[in-house]
Order: sequence, then structure tokens, then C-alpha cells
Amino acid sequence: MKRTFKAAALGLAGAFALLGTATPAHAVTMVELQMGAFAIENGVFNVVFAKEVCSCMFVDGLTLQDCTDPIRDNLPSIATSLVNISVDPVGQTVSSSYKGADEINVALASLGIAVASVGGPAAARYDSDRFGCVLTELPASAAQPVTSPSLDGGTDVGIDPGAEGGVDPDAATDAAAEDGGGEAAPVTTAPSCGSLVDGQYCGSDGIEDGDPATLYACAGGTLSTVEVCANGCLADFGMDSCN
Amino acid sequence: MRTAALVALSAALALFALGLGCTKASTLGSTASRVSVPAADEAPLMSIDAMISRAGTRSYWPNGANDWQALSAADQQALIAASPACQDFVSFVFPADADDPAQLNKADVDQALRTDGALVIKGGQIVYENYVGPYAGHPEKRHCMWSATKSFTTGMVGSIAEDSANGSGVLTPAGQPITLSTRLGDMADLSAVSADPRLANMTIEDVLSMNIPDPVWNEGYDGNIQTSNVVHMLYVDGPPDMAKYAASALMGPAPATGPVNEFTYSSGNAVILMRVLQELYGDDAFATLPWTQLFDRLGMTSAMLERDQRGVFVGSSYAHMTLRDMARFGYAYLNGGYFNGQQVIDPTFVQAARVIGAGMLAPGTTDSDITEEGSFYSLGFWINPNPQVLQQQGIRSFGPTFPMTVDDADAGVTANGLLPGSKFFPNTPVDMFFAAGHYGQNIMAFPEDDLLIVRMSHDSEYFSKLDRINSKARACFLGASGG
Repeated sequence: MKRTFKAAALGLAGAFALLGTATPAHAVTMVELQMGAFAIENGVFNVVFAKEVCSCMFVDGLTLQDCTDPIRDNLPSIATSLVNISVDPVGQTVSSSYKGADEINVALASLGIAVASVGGPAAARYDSDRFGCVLTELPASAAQPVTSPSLDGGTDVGIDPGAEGGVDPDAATDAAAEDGGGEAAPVTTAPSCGSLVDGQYCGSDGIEDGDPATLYACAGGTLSTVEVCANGCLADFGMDSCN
Repeated sequence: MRTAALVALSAALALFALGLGCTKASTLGSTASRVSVPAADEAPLMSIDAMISRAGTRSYWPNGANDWQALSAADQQALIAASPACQDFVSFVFPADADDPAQLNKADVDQALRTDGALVIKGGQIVYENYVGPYAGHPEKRHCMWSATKSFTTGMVGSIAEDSANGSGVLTPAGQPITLSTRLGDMADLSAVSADPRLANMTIEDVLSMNIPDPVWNEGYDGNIQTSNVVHMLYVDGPPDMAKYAASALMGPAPATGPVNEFTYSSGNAVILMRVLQELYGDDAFATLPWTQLFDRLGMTSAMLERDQRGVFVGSSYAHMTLRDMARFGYAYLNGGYFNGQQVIDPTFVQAARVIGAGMLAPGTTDSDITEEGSFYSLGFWINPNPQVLQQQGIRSFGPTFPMTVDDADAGVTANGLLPGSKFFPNTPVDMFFAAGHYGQNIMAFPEDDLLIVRMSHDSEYFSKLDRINSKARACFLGASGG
């Protein structure tokens, strides 16, 4: 017997582990996670809702109402309005799926975020009395890029949850630089090995000003191009390779 | 033999600190504005041998079939009613307006604690126990431990080491016992996880104290879902094989000059270690390991530990259990690893949980790395040493304003409210060590006081309130004041 819940008022008990806070201590308290296109396109909130509602209900024994009490939530408050949660109490499964892109874009408009597509659904199942819940379905990431002109080629946008509608352009830039997400920024300076030891490196793996989709070789601090990877480059600690 | 091992460990730590610790032109002792050092902070910690010896005198153990000994509900109520200090403790831990939605409009540090359950054990007996909200009347309900899971993982590995040392447990493939100094690469072939030799060279102590070479792991303090490695591990790239993801994200490129170790809080560490144990034990034995090594021996019948899709325990985050089982684990540590007639956890692991860990002694670890955490980290636990004493003992030196942080350096506005030379928890004894998890999952052990404070919660923020929880509890149950 499956019940489907509109999650408009959904909070989430213990949604994210071990995240930090601005003051006074980092490691084991919380910070409210930021809304962004990355989370929508990659189905992140679906995974969180599926796994943590499953654990909250079937491992900890709380009711759905307990698990979705807003006071227990540290997801972006708007996240709850973007998903549909389904709970099967007999099969002990929980699944989450995003609403349509149009509906999500309306909801996110005040935050300056727009998505062209949404990530797929996620599901979790209660496994056993020892092992609790485990994810059984993970979302396929959306294939299409974000359309918002304020975004840097498919990256996330950091939002200060305390500042309404405050798009942080630096966050998008930083995210792209750190994760190599989205389209590569134009390389304006020649790539170099920096302090890397000899080996093969993707452009995103320590090569200064490298192209993330290119495999380089460093030998004695001298850089050479091995090949431009047609399907992306896989970093593996000095033994990187093309996919 | 145990004592000798502990002495060697302490000496190694001290030598490490003296040789490689942070050096600064201006140190904590050079400022006249530092707070004074309480005499109690300079006294040696209760020895591990004394903790075990006291454990041997206990006549009752809550070993599953036997539940905890407890004051009756009426006696607990009478105890609270008779003492303003106890009423102060209870009203702080269980504030009447905890779940008032208006709390969400306050800054995190100003919000009330949202305790779901709290337990105080003095002298091996429950003297206070209370549950509210969905847990009211349901002490059998589990709670997610979040990062306190790292402490349980540490205890499990300590149990493996104890068995390995006494000849009843597993050895490395080369026939060596499992100890704190065992390298990951000595336990298993890590090629399926990572080819990085730095990972294979990390010891169990490195992993559990967050002593990481060239770390780039981002635990997600800024809330950015895209760049947080722990979010990726749990919810994005990691679920099929969290250890492999963690290994790929833990360290940056190896510098030509050699690795530089630094404390970086990483949820990936515990998962990587679990994956190594899976390789060492094989799938079948590994699947029961947390129970055979730890949970069953401590009578923790409610304990669950969730896994990734590969069957590897998420040893960083996903233990679930009742409050009374949290207390059983804390009681084992309070007793030096001894529980119900058996040395369950290697005493070297318990001792290492009480002193500053290799990660925070690492050469790359700065003062701000520590102040940003809000406490010192040991081996799977958090501790409360006096930094001036650490410096006097040559264990680590600090800058003149440590652990004070400032929001506005020019104005000298303190951000964490601490004065130079202070303990992170000024009114809490230096021998307190604790497990801590997101949303306020806490096990605070006070060896000298023979006291445990255990709570499970859904706090917005709790680290800034731990000192008050501790001092109010000690005032109530010990009649103590100050730390």
C-alpha cells in the first residue's frame, strides 16, 4: 500500500550529518545547506529525502509527521516544496522525485536560480534489523545545461539562506574552479606542472591553468600534452587517464 | 606491558610535538592577558590503569540481559525537585520553548537546545533519564548518531586491536597484530580503492585522528552542496562505493617536496577504514564485525549501522541506537575499555582518545585549524585540555591569543567568547572527553567524576552550549562548581 505525500510542508529529521556551522564550531554541528541548480540537476534532494526519511521512519521508528517536523530540518526550506515523497510502509521503501522543471523554476525564481531540467528520482529500502536503510535507486543527472545567464556553465549557485534572493556570483565561480564543473573557463595562460611530481594529470588535477578535458604529462616539472580526452578525464593521483 | 605501551605512545606523541609541532615567535605564554591556569588543569589525568582497576571493582554491568541500574522515577524526580542546581540543569537541557517555531528566527547560538533524550550515569547507576517529543515514553526508539558514529568506529577498531594483541583476533596478512601504528596498506591491498601510496601509508591512528597528508577534503562548512565532499559521499557520487569516492577526494596532488600532514575533519576517513576492514576480513565476516567486536560485547542490542551500496558500513555517520546503548558505549570508555569482566577495547585506544591526537599535532595544522573546530580532537573523540598546560608540557605551542577568535581583528571582537589561554570549555574539567554528532548526539565521559552525560537531540547548534550542560550537570549531580 503506497501513500504519496505532497511535501510542501516537509522538513527532514537529521537531514545532513556532520556539517559545520559558522560559529562557533565546525565539525559536528550544522549549517543550512544552500539551494542551487546543482542540487536540482543532480537529484541531490531526492537522495537525501529518500535515504533519511527511510531511516527516520523505519530505523528510528518515528512517524512521518515526526520526521518531517520543520524544526528538525536543516535543508533549504524551499527544498521541501520541490519534491514529492512516497512512502510504502509495507514494503518499507521511500522514494522522492522532483516536480517538473517549470514548477521548480517558478519556486526558485525569487532566488535567481533557473534550471532547464531536473535530476531523476531516488529510492531507499529498509534492509534489515542490522543494516537499516540503503539507497536502491539513484538519480540520473540531468543532461541539459542550466539556462540561467547568471550561472557559469552548469555550476551551482551559493545562496546565503539569510539573504533573500541573494545570488552569490563568487560561489558559482569558486564552485567551477574547485570541481571542474560545467564548461571549462577559457584558458588564458599556458598550463604548467607547478610542484607536481612526475606523472600524468588531468587538467583539473593540479595542473595550473590546465584544461580539465586534457590529459597532461609532467616530467621534471616540464609539461606536455598527452591527448585531449573525447569523453573527459579521470583523475587518479598521478596516473590519470582519459575516460 | 600495557603501561609500557602507553608510556611509549605518550613519549612518541611528545617527541613528535617537540620535533614537528607548530613553532611561533610569539607563543601563548608570552602574553600577560591570558587567563590563569586552574590548579586542577595541571594535575595528571586519571590513569588508564586506575580506570580499569576501578572497573574491576564494579559489581554490576548493564550487559544486555541486565539493563542499567537506575534510581526509580520517583527518586529521580525527588532529586531534581530538591535541588535548584538540578532544576537549572533540567530546564537548560529541556527548555519549555525548545520546539517553538519562533526559535528559528534566532541565531543558531541563541536557539534553545532541542534535546530528545538525556541520561546521566553516576557511579554506574542512572540518576537521571528523560525523553520528550516523539521519544517521550519511548526509550526504545533509536536515534541517528551522525558524526558520533566515528567514535563507535574507533571503539570497534580498538576492540579488533585488543583481540589481535591477545592472540584471539585477526592479524595483518604478514602476521602482525593490529595496532594504532598499523598502516592501511599493511592490512589490505588498496588498489581497488586508490593507487595513491599516501593512503596506504596512513596508519590507523592517522585515519582516526584526521592526520591527513596534503588534505583537500571539504566537510562542507560553507553549506555549498556542490563543493562539500561529505554531501557528495553520502548523496551524490559516493553511495555505490563511498570509500572509493572518499579516497579520490581526500588528498590533493602530492607535492614534490613530500607530503605535509594536517588536521582536516573528514567523514571519508572512517568509511575508508571500514572498506580496508572489509578487504581484510572478507565480506561475510565483515558484515557482522560491528556486532561481534563491539555491540554484542557491550550489550548494545538496539545498535544498527547502515551501509553503502557496496556493503561497506558508513562508519562516519550512520549508526543508530537508543540512548541507553549510547551510554553502554560511553561506559566502556569510562572504564578504560573494560566491560563486564572483559577488556573489550584496547586501552591504548582509550588513552589516545583522551589526549590531543596526531592530526592536531601535525606540522601543517595551524591554530585556526583548531579554533575553527571549537575543540581539540583526539582519537575519534573530542577533548578539553588546557592549551597553556599543553604548551608548558611541550606538546604543542600556540599563538598569543589562542583559542580566541575574532570577528573583527581590528576591533578585537571575540567570536567564540574565549579569552587567550582558555580551555574551549572553561567550566568543564580537562579530563572530560566526548563523542559528538550533528544535531547534538553527545556522550560526555568524566573519568575522575565517574560520570557520564548522554544526550540525543535535534539541536540547531549545541557546541557553544556543551560547557553549560556539563557545568550544570556537575553542579546538580556532584555538587561541583567550575571546571
